[in-house]
Amino acid sequence: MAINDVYRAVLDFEEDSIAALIEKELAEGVEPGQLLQEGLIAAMDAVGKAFSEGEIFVPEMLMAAQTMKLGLDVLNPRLGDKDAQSRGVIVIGTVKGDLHDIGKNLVGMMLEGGGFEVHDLGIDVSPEAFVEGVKKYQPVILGLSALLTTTMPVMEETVKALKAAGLEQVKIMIGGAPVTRDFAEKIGADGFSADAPAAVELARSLSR
Amino acid sequence: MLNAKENGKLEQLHKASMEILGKSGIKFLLPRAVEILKSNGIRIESDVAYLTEEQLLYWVRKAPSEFKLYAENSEYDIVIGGDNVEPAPTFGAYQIIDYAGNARPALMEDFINFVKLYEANPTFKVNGGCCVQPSDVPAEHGIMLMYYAAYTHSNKCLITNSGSAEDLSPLFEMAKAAYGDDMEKWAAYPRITTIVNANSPLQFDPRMLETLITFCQAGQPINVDSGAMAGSSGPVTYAGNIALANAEVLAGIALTQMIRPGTPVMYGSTASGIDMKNAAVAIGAPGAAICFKYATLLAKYYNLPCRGGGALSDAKKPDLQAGFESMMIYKTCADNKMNFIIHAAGVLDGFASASYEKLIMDFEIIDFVNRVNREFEISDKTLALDVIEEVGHGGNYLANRHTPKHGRSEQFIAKLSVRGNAAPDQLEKNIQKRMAQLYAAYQKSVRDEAVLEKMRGIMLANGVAEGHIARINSL
Ligand code: B12
Repeated sequence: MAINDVYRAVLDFEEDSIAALIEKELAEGVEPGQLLQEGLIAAMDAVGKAFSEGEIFVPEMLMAAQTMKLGLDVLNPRLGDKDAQSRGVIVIGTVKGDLHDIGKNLVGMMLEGGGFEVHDLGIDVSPEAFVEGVKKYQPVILGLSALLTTTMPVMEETVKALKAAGLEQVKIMIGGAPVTRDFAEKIGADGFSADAPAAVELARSLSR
Repeated sequence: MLNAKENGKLEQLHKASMEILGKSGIKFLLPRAVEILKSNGIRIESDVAYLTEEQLLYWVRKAPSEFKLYAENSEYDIVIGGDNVEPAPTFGAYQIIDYAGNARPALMEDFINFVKLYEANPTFKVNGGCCVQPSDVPAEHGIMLMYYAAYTHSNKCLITNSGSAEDLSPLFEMAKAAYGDDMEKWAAYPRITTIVNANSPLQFDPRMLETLITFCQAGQPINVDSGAMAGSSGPVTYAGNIALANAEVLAGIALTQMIRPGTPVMYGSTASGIDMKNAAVAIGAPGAAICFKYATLLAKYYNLPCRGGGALSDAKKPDLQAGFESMMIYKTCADNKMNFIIHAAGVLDGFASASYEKLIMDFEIIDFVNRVNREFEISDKTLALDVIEEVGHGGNYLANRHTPKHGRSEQFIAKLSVRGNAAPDQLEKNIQKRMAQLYAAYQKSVRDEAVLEKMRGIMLANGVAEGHIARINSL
């Protein structure tokens, strides 16, 4: 089956051939929505499962996600409004004073693999810069990362700054090694997750 | 002495680092640092510095191969360099994990308890720093309060926190209250040291560069450190990761010598790897041990004192994993003469947490390793041929005079290890017993009231609440 080739291409990290493969399927009249659901997303779900079970490793999963993204770039312009809407926009960044970004990057890449459109504002991002980013990209979700107990208070400042700017509709999820669920509740964030796979689950539930 | 094969490897790594410095360069994200590099003829493109091998070695060779760090009580002065190995407290853990694995935020009381335990252990000549990160004092006052807590509770060499120039200014005022403001004297008798981390890959951030500049100007030693993690902030192949870390550290050291030629500095490494399953840092892994081994070899190749390693573990509680990982990393460091071992006791959970029980276990690890690495004496006395003859075939050494005479010095008297007929919970009891003994042996240092008054004045002037100071005094 042809869609199966697309599915396999993601599982085999065929970054070089995925675009051509999708073009070929589209030329043969396969529905873009079907290629997305049964090809790309189904493959990433399988990858996510294998990852959770420890069968594949982080860099391999990221390559699969990268392959999926290249495929998505080809599909995106041809998807109908209905399919496009299912794809949520997320803005992510590490808070001011904090330079740790490995966890944040990993979460960002996995969210992309999960089908989200991610805009990464980088590290040392001030509450004002987060407000600007939210205005610019109009995300469904804002993700904040902090690895230092001394920068965790900036998460609270950022939540307040968004409220003050009248942007309370955006859902806020937070994470980073010292961050806890209790802390998330305390500062009025909408969600917390302890690792990247859980962050994708969380984003899905927050964007529903 | 290294054999030719090892030497060849170091040359390969050195060459690779030189290529990294020339081709990719190192980003210095502080205009003042860039100015210093530029005024010393280093090629700069925007904020990236490209050092040639010749420039790099010219500056690195100005750094002393060993130096002395001075303690409040001169008995604890230490030499950092050569074959000397000095264990030092852990740094930066923000949680305390108990024996069962429950975690809670670290407090100032924990900080002081740790200082007391390090102080009471004669193997340690270094104390303070950020041995745990207290959550009950405001972040912006932590640097001052931790220094005050260490100064009032320890007679040993002191580590401090790092920070921006603004953060460090009251800290240095406090230290001047203790040691005077003759900066030349300060430089001649260094009193405090801290950690300056590269922000791998290939950059130094403004805050760290301000720490570097502030300490070097005052002639106080720092360790320039790279924590490149093979697979996330460095290449997954260890040779590449080590070459990258080496390039970062050497570039930082070159800068220290431009600021104050001859200023003491340590070649630092917390380079390690990651867990491929979740990208978590892997500090108790074999790869980390390889990084530390090569950090010592490279530092010695450049004639520099080195810092790195520790009794490191990624375990989530003081368990079996904590034991085997900590022993591997500490022993690798000690065997290779890592001169200054921050994180020598108490850390686990990939640097994020600390544990009292593990602290006590690590004390034992250090004593074990020191015993193993002590010069092995082969003499008439230790060969004991006369005793062998005397006891003869099928005899018994237990009751021979020779055994009680040398038993205490020859057999390591373990404080924790359980042997013989004992209950399964004996280890835990031994840990608690040793901890209680150390607390009992701890003696609070006697300090000049006038100095303390000055320090308190500086803290109050910088907005520290009186209650936080009083609390430290009461502990
Ligand atoms: C690597 C590291 C560094 C590197 C960072 C490199 C980089 N590019 O990120 C370097 C060496 C530069 C560094 C510097 C410093 N560090 Co540091 N660092 C670490 C370390 C060892 C590992 C972090 C890491 O990469 N983990 C791996 C990733 C995959 O895990 P993670 O970040 O937790 O992310 C996961 C989850 O938390 C979650 N998540 C993360 N973000 C988000 C966001 C969202 C939205 C969601 C939903 C989920 C989520 O999902 C991720 C994937 O599973 C930690 C200790 C630790 N174990 O956490 C210390 C640690 C955090 N650092 C610490 C310190 C003190 C510092 C320095 C001050 C040290 C110094 N004196 O030089 C500086 C400060 C720099 C600054 N201003 O930020 C302390 C913190 C103490 C405290 N007060 O909280 C720690 C605990 C270590 C220690 N004991 O000293 N550090």
